[in-house]
Amino acid sequence: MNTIQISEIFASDQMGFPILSILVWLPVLTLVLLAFIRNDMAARSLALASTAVELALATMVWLKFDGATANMQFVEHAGLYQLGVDGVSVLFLPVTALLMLLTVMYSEPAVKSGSQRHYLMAMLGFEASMMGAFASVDLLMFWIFFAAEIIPSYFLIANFGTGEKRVAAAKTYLSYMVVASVLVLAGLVMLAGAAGGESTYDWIQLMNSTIPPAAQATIFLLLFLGLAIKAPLFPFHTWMPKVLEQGPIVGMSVYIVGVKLGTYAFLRFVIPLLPEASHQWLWLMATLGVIGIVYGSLIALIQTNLRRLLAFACLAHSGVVMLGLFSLNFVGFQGGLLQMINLGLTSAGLFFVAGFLHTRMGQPDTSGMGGVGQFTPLLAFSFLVIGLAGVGMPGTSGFNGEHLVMIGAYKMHWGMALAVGAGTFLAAGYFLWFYQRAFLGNVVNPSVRTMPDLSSTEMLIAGAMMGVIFWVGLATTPFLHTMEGSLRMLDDRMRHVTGIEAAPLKGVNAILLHDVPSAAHPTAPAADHGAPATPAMPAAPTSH
Amino acid sequence: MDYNLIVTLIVVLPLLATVVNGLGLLAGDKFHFKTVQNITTNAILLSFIGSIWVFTQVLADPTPKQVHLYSWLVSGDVKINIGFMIDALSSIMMLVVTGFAFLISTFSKNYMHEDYSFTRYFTALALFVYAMLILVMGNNYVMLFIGWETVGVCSYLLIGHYYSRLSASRAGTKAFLMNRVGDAGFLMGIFIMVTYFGTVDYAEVLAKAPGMDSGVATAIGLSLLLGAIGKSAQLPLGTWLAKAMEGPTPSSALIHAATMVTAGVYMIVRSHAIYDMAPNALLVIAIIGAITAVYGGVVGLVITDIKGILAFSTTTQLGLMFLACGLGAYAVAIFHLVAHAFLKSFLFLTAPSVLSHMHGSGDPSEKDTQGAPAPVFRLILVGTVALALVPFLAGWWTTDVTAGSGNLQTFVLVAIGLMAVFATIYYSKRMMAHSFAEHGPAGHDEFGGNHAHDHGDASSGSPGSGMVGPLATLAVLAAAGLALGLLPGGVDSTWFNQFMSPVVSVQASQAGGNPVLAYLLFAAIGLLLLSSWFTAVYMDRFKPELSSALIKMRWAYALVVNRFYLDELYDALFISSTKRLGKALDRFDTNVIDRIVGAPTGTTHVTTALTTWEQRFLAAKGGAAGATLLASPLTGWTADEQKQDQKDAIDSPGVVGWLTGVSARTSGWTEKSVIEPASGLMGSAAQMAATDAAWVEKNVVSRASGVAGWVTENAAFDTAWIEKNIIGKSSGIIGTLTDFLGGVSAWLEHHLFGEGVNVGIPYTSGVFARFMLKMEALLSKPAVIIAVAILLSSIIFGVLS
Repeated sequence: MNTIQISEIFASDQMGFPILSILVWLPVLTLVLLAFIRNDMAARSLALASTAVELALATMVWLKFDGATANMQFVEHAGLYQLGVDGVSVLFLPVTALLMLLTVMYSEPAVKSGSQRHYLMAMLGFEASMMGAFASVDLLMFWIFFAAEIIPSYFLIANFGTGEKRVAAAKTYLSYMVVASVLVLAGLVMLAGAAGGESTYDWIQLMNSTIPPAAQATIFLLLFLGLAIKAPLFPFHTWMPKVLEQGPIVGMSVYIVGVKLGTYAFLRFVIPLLPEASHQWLWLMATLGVIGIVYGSLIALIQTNLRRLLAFACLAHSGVVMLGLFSLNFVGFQGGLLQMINLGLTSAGLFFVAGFLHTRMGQPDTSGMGGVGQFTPLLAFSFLVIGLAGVGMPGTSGFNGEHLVMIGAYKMHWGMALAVGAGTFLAAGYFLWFYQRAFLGNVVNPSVRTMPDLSSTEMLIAGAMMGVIFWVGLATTPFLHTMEGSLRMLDDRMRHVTGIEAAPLKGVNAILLHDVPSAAHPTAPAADHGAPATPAMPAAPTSH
Repeated sequence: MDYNLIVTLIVVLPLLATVVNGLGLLAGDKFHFKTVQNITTNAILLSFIGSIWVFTQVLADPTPKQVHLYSWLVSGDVKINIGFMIDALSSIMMLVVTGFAFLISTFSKNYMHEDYSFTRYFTALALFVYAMLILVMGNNYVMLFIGWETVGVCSYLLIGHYYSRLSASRAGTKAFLMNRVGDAGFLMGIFIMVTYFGTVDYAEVLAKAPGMDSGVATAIGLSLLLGAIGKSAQLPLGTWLAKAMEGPTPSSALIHAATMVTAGVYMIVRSHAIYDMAPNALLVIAIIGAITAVYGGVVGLVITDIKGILAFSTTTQLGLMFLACGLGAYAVAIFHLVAHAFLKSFLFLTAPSVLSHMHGSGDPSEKDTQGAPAPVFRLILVGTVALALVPFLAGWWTTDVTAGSGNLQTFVLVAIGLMAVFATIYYSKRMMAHSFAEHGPAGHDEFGGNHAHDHGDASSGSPGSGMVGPLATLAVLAAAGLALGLLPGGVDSTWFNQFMSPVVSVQASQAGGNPVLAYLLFAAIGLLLLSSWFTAVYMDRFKPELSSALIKMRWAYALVVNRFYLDELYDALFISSTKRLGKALDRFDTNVIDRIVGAPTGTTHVTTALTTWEQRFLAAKGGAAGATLLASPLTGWTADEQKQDQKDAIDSPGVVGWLTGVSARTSGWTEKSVIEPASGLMGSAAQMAATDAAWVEKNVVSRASGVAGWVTENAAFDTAWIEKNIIGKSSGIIGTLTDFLGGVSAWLEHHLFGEGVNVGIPYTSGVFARFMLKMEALLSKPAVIIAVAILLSSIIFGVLS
């Protein structure tokens, strides 16, 4: 059934040096160095330099990446140690690096009590685990990074959290994530042995072999449960409001709302390796996604605390991403993936803004706000722009992701598209309502009058976020090209399962010289290639 | 110059103005006010000049021209280009947008002069022009949507311009959200289009439309219509427009009267090829338009706020445009759109002068307290009556069409002629007001400071020299436009129709002869007759003696003056119930989901297990210091540095300590998690019967809070029930899983360490020790030693030999 065989393109050929290893291990090295530096200032400079290099390297990976192929690129392979990126994972590297740089920049205001150094070390550990998870090709390696992320997170919440109940929140996070990791591990171990023959943790080998549909269901459910906790999906989300409310001002919370390792793993392991099960359990994923959107948005609507609001908004966002991914077609994949990148910019950006508010007035709760915009116009402006991007304004990154998801979802079922649409409406509701209560209107709290506007660091952070938001929004094609090859391959795999007709491959020129897509298509491959095997392919869906 | 370049520049110039002004604003309002106003005004002027040039090009060669800029988004079979299509329709709209924007920005220079956020206003204005140009010039539906959304944002910003006023910020949010409902429909339309046609380009979609399936056409048509309803303030999404008057008056003139609100009409005319295939959608358009027109007219009769009157007049006129679209008279709708833009900009821009007589309150009924002159009031009365008459006449015209006489054009002319008459009367009355203004009441200066933003020149109270020019220009343009209106109208041979013919070649009247529409229109006319009669009575409502029958009819007046309670209705139906639902869900989330899924560190027994384990662990390791020491290699923690977080350290003894034993509960978890919930369920069944009876009594019998309220109540009640009966007893999924993991680890601990190590090692060493002792005892016997010596030496010799 597999039409496209995946192979490896080695980093030595593409880059000349093991760039992914550097990306993963540079933060660890910095972390170790930080253990020996006693000066906070020097520690910050080192961490900043290290994260800046990370961002440069991660951007380099993206620029050098060839979006036309589905092959793993920049591969370093030695036994179980197997790093590589493809169109699904490559964009997460620059987003992770960017957020980390900004978080490190904001470490001074974010750490009120406790040691800067420890905070930076924990953050760097976190970055290493995220980079590792995104760059891993080997299933076990992915899991190790996936699980390793828990340790720095626990410390960040327990020691740098802002709430009274931060220790309890840290424990909640820990227990949820341990459960998630165990379930994911069980799933991955079963997955390794499911292909028949020798058990392998090599993702590429698994992709090139066939996993019998009968074996898929159990693996799917195990992975689903684990990843649903991580993502989070309804009803496994309850750890998140606690963690975000009690956790650090920015810290790894930015990643919880922004960089969705859980939904990424769905696109990396679940959908490509378990296509039949994904199709079979589509209804479950779609239902949970739809419930998550409506439920999360409705609760977000009445929140007065911005961080809790973002937690529930995050639930809704995960729902949107899941609906995109489980549209199981090319546009849906692309939309879901783009939406994940977009969340790394908008949700994380809003969390930064929540952090700015927090450092000014304690919990970012509307009960103490009102009329803030008069005194901090830049803060209000950042909130409005990033928020509108989250709501899906055209010209920002939010528009493209959300609407590709809707198109993809519509192809699967109109109800799914409707739910995403309702989500965007409710998103505008909770966002604008919060903006109105916090930033507009009359001043209720006199301390607002002396509130300082954004500092230069904060302006830099907000400006960087907005810049990238508009960049992705206005010039989307390069980003979509990056995903093209891998997602095309994925779409090809799924088409055999779902029976949804393929999108004809077209370049920009073909678009301008338009031809009618639907009627001519089924016969087109035969006419083009003439190979006896090719016409049999479109017939395959009917057998399912 | 290159055609493509000019077309691109028309769009880009206002955007540049936005960016430049915006950057100045972000840098702390750095520019001088003259720089700001000149940047915006001149950019719009250049766009206007470009639009005129483009218009002449279209006159010379009416075939639609495509300008392709770049591919914005190519995803599979969906490809969205940034490009423009210039044809008769878009060139007319470009003229309207840039022309009025230019006039209004010139007017605003003076009007907004004393505003504390002058730059913000001009930035938003330039952004609006850019967005509106994208909307009318784009060559595909996604570009239309981009412009659509962006003008929505500008509208939000300008309505909420005086954002420290709570009502203004609320009005902005409301307008945005109501538009958002429409946008969802618009998007749905686009998606159906993508699926059906595989493209969103006008050229392709409209070329394929004539052969399309009527069901699909209806679906697309109705979806797009929902968007149009939101943007053009038609019922049932139209209530935001009246509140939108919170913005500065010039922006109201531009956005909420002349241009943005007509975007819905533009979209329908643009998509007419689809609507032609969907007569049912057209019928819906016509009905919505008619109802809205009547609604606007009736409410406009009794509204006492001058900007409110204008807003409802806009609603009425937009309804008429929709009606024209619904009847297939697309060219008439567009002509009406242009004429209305002239008329309404004029009315809005004169409103500030009227307001200055009212000392900024904007409520003509306060005339007596302010000592304002009767002419102003009469003027408004005339305007109101005239505005109400337009839908009346329009109704007459459409009825005639419906009746089949087919003499559409005549009545269009009459309707438009009436607008002209109205404008003339209004204008002459305005002149009176002006002359009056120069001899304004003595009390004026006392109030001057309070309403500085309401008119440009606080010292004179009449339009400043900067405003007279635009006003005069507008007046001339209005006259010219209306005079022109007597020429074309709906007559096929007129130049306007010929000009529009490449775009809207069909002058079909699909809805013609439809009995539903006919009855609806008759009903509308009857209602209007009634309303005008009541108005005559109630305008003199302070008269002491009214017939008792009329006093009993006072509710009708109350109904109308409260805008049919639509806002309150929506609030009760959707907003407050949504909020209540959100709150109920929030409780549900905390009390039910959280516990079902599990709160391992909550107050349930799991915590105890964890704490117990931690205590044991800490005891084993010699207290918190040991635990942190153990954790230190991982994180660089040292015991010294940890001291400042001593309190936390006790709570959190380090990850290693924690991870090694996630929980230490051995047995018991089965009992608590499986058996207790089961008994809870059985017990709850009985309780459910009892509570149900109480619930029915409480919620159904004693209360009737409507369906939405009922659902909410029900949800909240169920939440409480589930919480009490199921959750209280169980520890949830995660709790159970944690327990399970804990059980496994505890079992391992017990058997491996407890038995294997704790028992095994002593046992093994005991055995070993006993063995050693036995050996010792044996070795102490000489015979054994001799035997061993012989054995060893014989082995050695054996090996050697």
